[in-house]
Amino acid sequence: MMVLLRLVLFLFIVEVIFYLLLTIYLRSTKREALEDEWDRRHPDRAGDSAERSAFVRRSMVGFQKTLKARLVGLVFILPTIAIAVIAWFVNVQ
Amino acid sequence: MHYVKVVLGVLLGITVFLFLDYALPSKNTVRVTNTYNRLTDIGANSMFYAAADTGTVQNAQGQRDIRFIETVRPNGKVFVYRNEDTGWIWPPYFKYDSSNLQAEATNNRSDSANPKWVSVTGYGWRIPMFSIYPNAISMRPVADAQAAPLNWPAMMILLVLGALLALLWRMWNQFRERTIDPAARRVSAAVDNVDARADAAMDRVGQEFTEAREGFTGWLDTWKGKPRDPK
Repeated sequence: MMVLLRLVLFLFIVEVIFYLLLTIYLRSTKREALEDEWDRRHPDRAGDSAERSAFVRRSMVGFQKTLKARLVGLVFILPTIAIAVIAWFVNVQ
Repeated sequence: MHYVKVVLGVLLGITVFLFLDYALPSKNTVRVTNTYNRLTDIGANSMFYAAADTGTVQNAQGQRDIRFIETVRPNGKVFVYRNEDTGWIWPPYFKYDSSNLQAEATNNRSDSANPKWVSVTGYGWRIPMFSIYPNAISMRPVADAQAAPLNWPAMMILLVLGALLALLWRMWNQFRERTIDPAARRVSAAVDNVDARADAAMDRVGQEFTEAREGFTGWLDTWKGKPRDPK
């Protein structure tokens, strides 16, 4: 039983690490896309500026609620299911 | 330095290959001839046996009762598997049915006159010198000795590992592009700024020194009756 608990804990820690990494990565790509969007809309004011930062910050509000951001939560579900399926098929004839 | 990098890279490649070769599942078509368990001495080769906390029992002398499956390959050479639970963490086969597998193997025993071929999935190496045995995970009957079922579990694991590697690589690139590079640019701009200010200060010192010297030589020259340079 302790061994199983250890596996659960270990798996959870790995999943949290990947969840954080994926969240940071996804937000970063989104911010980059928004900056490009600003540069495309305002070719005369392209490049880093306080206005662009404000635009990016405004547009990032609510990003965590989008489907894309929520799908990152699968990182907690899919590996767990995979392990359950592997354990099932290895042990049940 | 170049050669050091090449050697380290080759060593890393060999290590990764050996690691995958050991840990990934492989399938062999064999004929089971005998199954038994035996008190086995485990010493320096313990790394190639199940971890101590997976339901294995060791006696005071450090011996373990381990199930073995003796098999014959289609080419007539023998191959011996051990049959141990893997436990819950490493290697991640989550196998705890070694009793069932042993019963299956015993059920599939056959002799050369009336062969019954099975495909055994297992992982690990057989190294007789160090008493290292591959661990059998599962077995299923196949039609004949030539049957070679597709090893799709290993393929899927490799695909997942490759996808994970690609993802980490892209994450790292994004991190470098958006975080490290701008920071490096800021640092180098700051260094440039300091450099430019130091240059300007040196220039001013040099200029003032020249002015002072010119003033002094001009004053000396008045002693020789030269008119002072009107500046």
